[in-house]
Amino acid sequence: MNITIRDVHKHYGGFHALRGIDLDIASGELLALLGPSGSGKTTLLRAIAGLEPLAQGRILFGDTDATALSVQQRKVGFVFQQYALFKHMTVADNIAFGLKVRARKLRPNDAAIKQRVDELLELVQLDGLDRRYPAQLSGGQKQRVALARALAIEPRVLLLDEPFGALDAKVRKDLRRWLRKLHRETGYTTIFVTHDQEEALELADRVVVMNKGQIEQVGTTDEVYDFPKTPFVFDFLGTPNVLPGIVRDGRVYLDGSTQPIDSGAHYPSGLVDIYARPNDFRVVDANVPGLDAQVLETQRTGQRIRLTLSINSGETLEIDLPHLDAELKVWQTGETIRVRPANFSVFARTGAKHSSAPDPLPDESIPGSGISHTVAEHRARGRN
Amino acid sequence: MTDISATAPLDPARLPFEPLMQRNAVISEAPWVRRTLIGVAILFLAGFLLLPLLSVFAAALGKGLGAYFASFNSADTQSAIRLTLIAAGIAVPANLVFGLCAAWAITKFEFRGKQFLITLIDLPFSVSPVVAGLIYILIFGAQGWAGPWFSAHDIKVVFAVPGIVLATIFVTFPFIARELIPLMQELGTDDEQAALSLGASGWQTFWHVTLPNVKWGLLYGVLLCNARAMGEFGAVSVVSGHIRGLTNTMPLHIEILYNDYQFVPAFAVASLLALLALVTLAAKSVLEWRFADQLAATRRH
Amino acid sequence: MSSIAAPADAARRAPKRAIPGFGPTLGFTVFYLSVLVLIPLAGVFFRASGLGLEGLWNVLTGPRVLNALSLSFGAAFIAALINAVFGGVVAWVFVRYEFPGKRLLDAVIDLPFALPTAVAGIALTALYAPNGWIGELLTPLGIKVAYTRLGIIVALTFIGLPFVVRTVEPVLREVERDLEEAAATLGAMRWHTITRVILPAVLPALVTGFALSFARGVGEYGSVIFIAGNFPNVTEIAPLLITIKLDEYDYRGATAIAAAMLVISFVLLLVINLLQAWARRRA
Repeated sequence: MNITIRDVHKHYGGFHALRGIDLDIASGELLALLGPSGSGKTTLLRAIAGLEPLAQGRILFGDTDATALSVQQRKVGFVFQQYALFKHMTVADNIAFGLKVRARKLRPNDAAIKQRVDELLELVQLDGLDRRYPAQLSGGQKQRVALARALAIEPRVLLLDEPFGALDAKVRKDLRRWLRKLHRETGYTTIFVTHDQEEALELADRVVVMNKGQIEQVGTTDEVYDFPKTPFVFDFLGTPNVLPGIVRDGRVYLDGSTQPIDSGAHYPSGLVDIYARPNDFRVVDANVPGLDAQVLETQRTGQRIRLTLSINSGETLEIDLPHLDAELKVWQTGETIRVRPANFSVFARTGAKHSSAPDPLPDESIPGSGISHTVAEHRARGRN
Repeated sequence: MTDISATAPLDPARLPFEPLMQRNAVISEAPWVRRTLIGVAILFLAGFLLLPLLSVFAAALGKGLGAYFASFNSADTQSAIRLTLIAAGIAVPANLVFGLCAAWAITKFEFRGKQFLITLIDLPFSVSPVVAGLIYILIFGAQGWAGPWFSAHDIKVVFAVPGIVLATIFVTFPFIARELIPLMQELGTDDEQAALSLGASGWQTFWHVTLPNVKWGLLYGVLLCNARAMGEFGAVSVVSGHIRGLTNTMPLHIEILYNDYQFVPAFAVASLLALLALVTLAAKSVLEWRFADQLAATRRH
Repeated sequence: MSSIAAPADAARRAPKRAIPGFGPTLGFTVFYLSVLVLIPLAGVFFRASGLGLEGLWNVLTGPRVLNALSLSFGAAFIAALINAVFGGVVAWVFVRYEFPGKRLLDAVIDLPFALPTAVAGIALTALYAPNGWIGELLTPLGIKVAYTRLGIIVALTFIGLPFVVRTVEPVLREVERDLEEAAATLGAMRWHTITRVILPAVLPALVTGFALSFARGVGEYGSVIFIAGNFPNVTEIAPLLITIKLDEYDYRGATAIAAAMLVISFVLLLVINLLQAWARRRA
């Protein structure tokens, strides 16, 4: 079932939780709604389910206007963050609930219900646990019961709110893999909410990055990771270094450097911020354009080496280098080296104040409200 | 989900429960159902709780303020008030000491039969007040085991003040202990162990660490205990012998006045006890609103 | 040997518990409890056993005693049932809805705990007597409350009300919004959600509240005797009959009824404890 969302708004008192959401979700797609707390991602998910009445906008399931349907009529499979299993019911009764509460003429007979429950238990690999109560299950098992219960009603769409939020790291990884497989097998249109970028990138076909009630960027996992449209997206998908720079005659210069670090694309002139992830830096020879920096600290973490550097503007820079790199020598504290961002994004600098660790929710990152959006169109990708 | 932007004070997931309940059609009832239920609840509470309370004051003041205050001029009434104060003045501190001891023993140490002990402490709540009075008659009465010995030594227990105090202690027995036990269980023993490790003596630890931690819960228990102690009727009725001016407490005096068709004085005395109940409820509510976090979890709502 | 025994000796000499005061506080607790509660209560059973089984049986099956006991239990049962229904509604309304005066009413719920029973008794009687505020309205309809069994039920309902409300309220408050939303997404209508999801979740609390209200009603004396009229065999409750027997110096009769009531209260106490254990398991 494909889903069409048009101009959806939601207010809580004076708080504008969703500010005009437009989104098209293809049938059978596995979509992640990614964003920080308060970004509106859960509100959007609940709006699709019909749990939040909307002030404005339309949501279509296929050609049906879902906004006119009650929660009960929408037939969405919703998996709650804390699972919301009925404590006084067995696993089997929990899964059968959606079938048992149907109007009499739509209700399958007991044998059919039992058969469906058994099928679902097998699907979620919980055979034999049908008589258990939720209190007797582990977190991962509860999660799967919640999923089976949502699937029992043959939903038009499967909605999962922070599906792995309440689980520990190991179980989380296993369940992710398992959910991906389940999605392949069942083919339900699936939307899940997460604040964990790693989870979104690993699991989803497409990612919707949300901030302050609006969509920052929609794209495949590669698109949002490699071509972030806004500083917010870049920032949310990693911990970038932000370097001050300037564009003159379409070329990008790091502050204090006379040689441009990129010559491919054309940029509008002005002060810019250059965003680069720690692992996108290379140590280069002194004759190559780059940034001179002093080594403050070297730390080996597994396969990588993290260097903390001080650049001449007085700020610190963190870069990751692969530890098996043949050229890599052991850097001494105090030594001066030249580094160059291999991949980076350029955004127009909006505030006079500059910080290497930007506010996680910078005001200026709202699309349309600043010029960063248009600069991003000219975003280049420097390659060595 | 840790960083919440300062510009988003009303994160949807954090909105208070109740207003959402009412606004969100998904998990609430149709307005007419809601209104009907609220109406039923208010009517039920008004009819069963507010009206009786009002009627006490209405009947007490029915013949004017003069008649109301004249009711308290009678020597019997004054001695009933005095006896009530004496009985509560002995029973409440006695149960306070007991409650603290019981809560200390039960919450600071592990021992076998603890749960059983808690059940035994609660026992007086499930005993009819009349039976509570009867048990002391069976022991200290003229035909009781200890009765002859006491009368030989010219000590009167039943049909006298000691019997009234005993019966009052019995019916108010669990109030303070059962308020303190869950609270002190929740608080654990870390604070006490810290104080002891810093060199405080057992008494110092109790006075300076434990008592300040439980003071509001303790006050809560004392309030309820006192209300019951001053208002107890059945148990005291059985042991008192209803001797006017000597063994009549306020509730017993109300009965006598009422049965003599002296309605204004009866309701006037009743209004004093009703006022006590109102003060108790008000104090209790204030404690619950202001110090909810310092009362036992079982009391929070 | 000695090298092994030495640490054990040291351990024995060291204070067993980190916090002082175990002996004195437990000792005082047990002493106070025994002297004031346990021994006197046991006395009733000793006295009753003096009557012999046959004697007990004769007292308890006397028509007047039987009527009083069945009245006490029957009226308490009906009152507890009324409280379970209306107390449940009150708890629901308090947890789920906002309305003016809610805080005040919430404080007033505990009135029956704080108001002396004798005061409640004369107040209810004044209210429901034929010339009282409510009695006036009911008399033309042919309903008599004061001095009838109905009056006893009214008094016991008053006494037991807070038990149900205060037991159900916290449990109802803890029913997560998620559960109801989950039921709705699965297609359950509101009525189904309430009967199949919410009610089962609060049922243990509701039954516990019922049992507490019932237990309190069985032994209640002060609030009932004014409104009951106390006609032998008709509106004479068991606790009143005990006092009547005492006034007649019939200690045997009084003891027998008291013993019977105590046994039943203990059974109820046990049931309530089991119910609470059940509720905890379900939570």
